[in-house]
Amino acid sequence: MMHARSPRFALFTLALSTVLGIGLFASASGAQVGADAFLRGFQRTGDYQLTVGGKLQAGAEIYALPSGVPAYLIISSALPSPVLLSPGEGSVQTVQLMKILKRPDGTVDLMADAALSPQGKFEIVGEDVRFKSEGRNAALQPRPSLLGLKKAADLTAYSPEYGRRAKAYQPNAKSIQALRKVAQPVRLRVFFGSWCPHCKEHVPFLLKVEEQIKGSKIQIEYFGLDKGLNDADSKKFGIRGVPTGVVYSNGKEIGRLGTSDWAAPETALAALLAGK
Amino acid sequence: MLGYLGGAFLGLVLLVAAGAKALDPQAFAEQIRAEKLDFVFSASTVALIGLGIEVAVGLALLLGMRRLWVLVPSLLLVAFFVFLTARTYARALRGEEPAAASCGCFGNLVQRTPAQAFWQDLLMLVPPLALAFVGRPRGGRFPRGRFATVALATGAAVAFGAQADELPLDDLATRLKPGSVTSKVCVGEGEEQVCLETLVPALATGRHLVLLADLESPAFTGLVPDLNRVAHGASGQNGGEGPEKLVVLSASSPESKTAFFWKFGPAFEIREAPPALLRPLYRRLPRAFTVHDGRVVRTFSTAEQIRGAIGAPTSPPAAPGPDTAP
Repeated sequence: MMHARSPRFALFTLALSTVLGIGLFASASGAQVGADAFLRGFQRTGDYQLTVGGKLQAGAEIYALPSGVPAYLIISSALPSPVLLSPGEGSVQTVQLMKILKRPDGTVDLMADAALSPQGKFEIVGEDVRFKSEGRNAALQPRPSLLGLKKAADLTAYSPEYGRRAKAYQPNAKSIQALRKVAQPVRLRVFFGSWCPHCKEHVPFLLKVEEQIKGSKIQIEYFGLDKGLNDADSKKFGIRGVPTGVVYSNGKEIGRLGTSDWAAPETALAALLAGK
Repeated sequence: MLGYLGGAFLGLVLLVAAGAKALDPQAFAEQIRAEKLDFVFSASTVALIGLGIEVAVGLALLLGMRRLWVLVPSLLLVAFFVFLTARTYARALRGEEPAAASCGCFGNLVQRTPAQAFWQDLLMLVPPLALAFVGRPRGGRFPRGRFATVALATGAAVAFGAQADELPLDDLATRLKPGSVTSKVCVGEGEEQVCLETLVPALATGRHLVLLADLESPAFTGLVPDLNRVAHGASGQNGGEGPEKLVVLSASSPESKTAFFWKFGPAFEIREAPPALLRPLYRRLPRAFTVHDGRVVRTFSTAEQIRGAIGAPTSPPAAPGPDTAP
C-alpha cells in the first residue's frame, strides 16, 4: 500500500521531517534558546548610546525593561540582527527582527516564539558595556550630558523617560490654578543633570506643570550642568545639588526650589510665590 | 572655681566625643584615613590611640586634675583638632572641595560645613581650655587615686573600642533605630537638605524594606539572588506576596553602580544616596531596616540578620570555638 501514496504526501513528509530535524538539532546543540516570558514591555531608554566599530549609531533604538529582570534590546541598522543583553547572566543574544512586536504605545515585546542565538558575553569597561554580535564590535556608552540652556522638548528628545514620567504625573489642581493666576512675570530656571537619577525622576513633573500652565506669566527653562557640579555654571549660580529651581522676578532671585520640593514642584512653587 | 569649671566643661566635651568614637571606631578610622594620619600606624590603631588620649585627658580634666602634665596634652589635643578643622575650612575657602562622591546629584553634602566645624570646635574647645589654666593648683601631692581612675577608665575605653565593632550596638551608635522617623533623618540645611523621604518619597506610606549597601562588598552581592526573589515577590511577577517593597540605597560611584547592574542584574531598585546622609546610619554595610508609614520598625545590622528578614536560608551557626562568647 505504501507505493500507492501520492508524491505530494511524500514531499510533505520530507519537509516535515526536515523542519523537525533542524528543530531537534538546534535544541540538542543548545544553539538557540526560547524567549523568556518576562521579555515584554521594553521601553525606549535614553541612558545609553550605541557605537558599532567605534562609530556612533545615532539612529539606534535602545530599549530596556522598566522593572523586574533587567534586559536591554538594541535595534540598529549597523547590526545584522537586534541584540538582547541580559545583565546578571552577562549574555549577548541576537533575535530575529520579525519576532519583535512594536506596540502603539511605543513599548516593544519579544514574541513568545522568538528564538535567541547566543553571541557570547559582554564585558564592562568603566561605564561602557562592550559586546560582539555576529562579528561586529559594539558598545553601549552612557550618553554625554545635556549642557546649558534647554527647553522642555530638548529634555524629552534626549531621554524618552522624561516624556513618560511627565505624562504619568498628576499635578495638584489647586496649585496649578494658583500658578495660572500669578500676576507678575516670573522665570523659573531649573538646574539639572541629565546624568542624575533624581533629576530624571523629578524634573519630568515640572514638564507636566509647564504644559498645564501654558499661557500664564510663569516661564520655565532648564539648564543642564555637568557631572560633579564643579563647573563654572554651577559655581556662578551657587548650585550645590540638582535639581535646583531658581525663581526670578524682575530679574532678581526671589527663592529656590530645593531638594525636598520636587515631590510636588507646583505646590512648592505656588507656596514660594505666595510668600509662604 | 572658674578654672575648674572651664577644665570640667572641656573634659565633658572630650568625653562625649570619645563616647561616639568608642561606639563606632570604624567611622573614626575612616576620618583618620581621610586626613592621612595613618602614616605610622594603621588607621584602626591610630583611632584607638586617639580614643585613649581623648578619654584620659577628658576624664582628668573632669576630675579636676589641672596639672601641667594634663593641661599641656590638652592644649596639644585642642590645637590639633582646631588645626584639622581650620585646614579643611581653608581648603573650602580656596575652592578645593573634594570631587563629589556617588553620582553627585547632591554635590558635596556634609553633616557640618567646614566653616561650622571650625567655628564650633574653636568656640567649644579654646575658651574652656584657656579657663582651665586659670588658678591651676601648683605643687601638692600627686593625685594617685584620680590618676588610677583615669588610667583604668582609659584602658577600659580602649578595650571597649577594640571590641565595639563586634558588639550589637548599631541602634545606639547610629541615627537609625526603631522609632526613627524617615522624614526627619536628614542632612544639610535649607534647599540643600536631603532626608530619607526625599530619596524615597514612598517611605511615607506602606511597608518597606530599605537596604543600605556598598555595591562592591561581597557581603551585599551575596544577598542579590535572595533580594531579587523578594523584588519579584513584591512586584507580583512570580505570583509571590512580598509584604514589603524593597529599595536599596547606595553611595557607590557611577562606575561601581554600572558594574554591579550589569554583573548581577538586580531586579530591585537602587537609589543614589549622599554619603553624608548614609554614613551616620550604619557602622558596617550592609544594614537594613523596615519602615511602616514613615517610621522605622526594625533594624538588621548583619548580612545574616538581613537574610532572616527576607526569609532566605541563613548559614548554619559556626561551631563554638575557644574565643566564642557563650
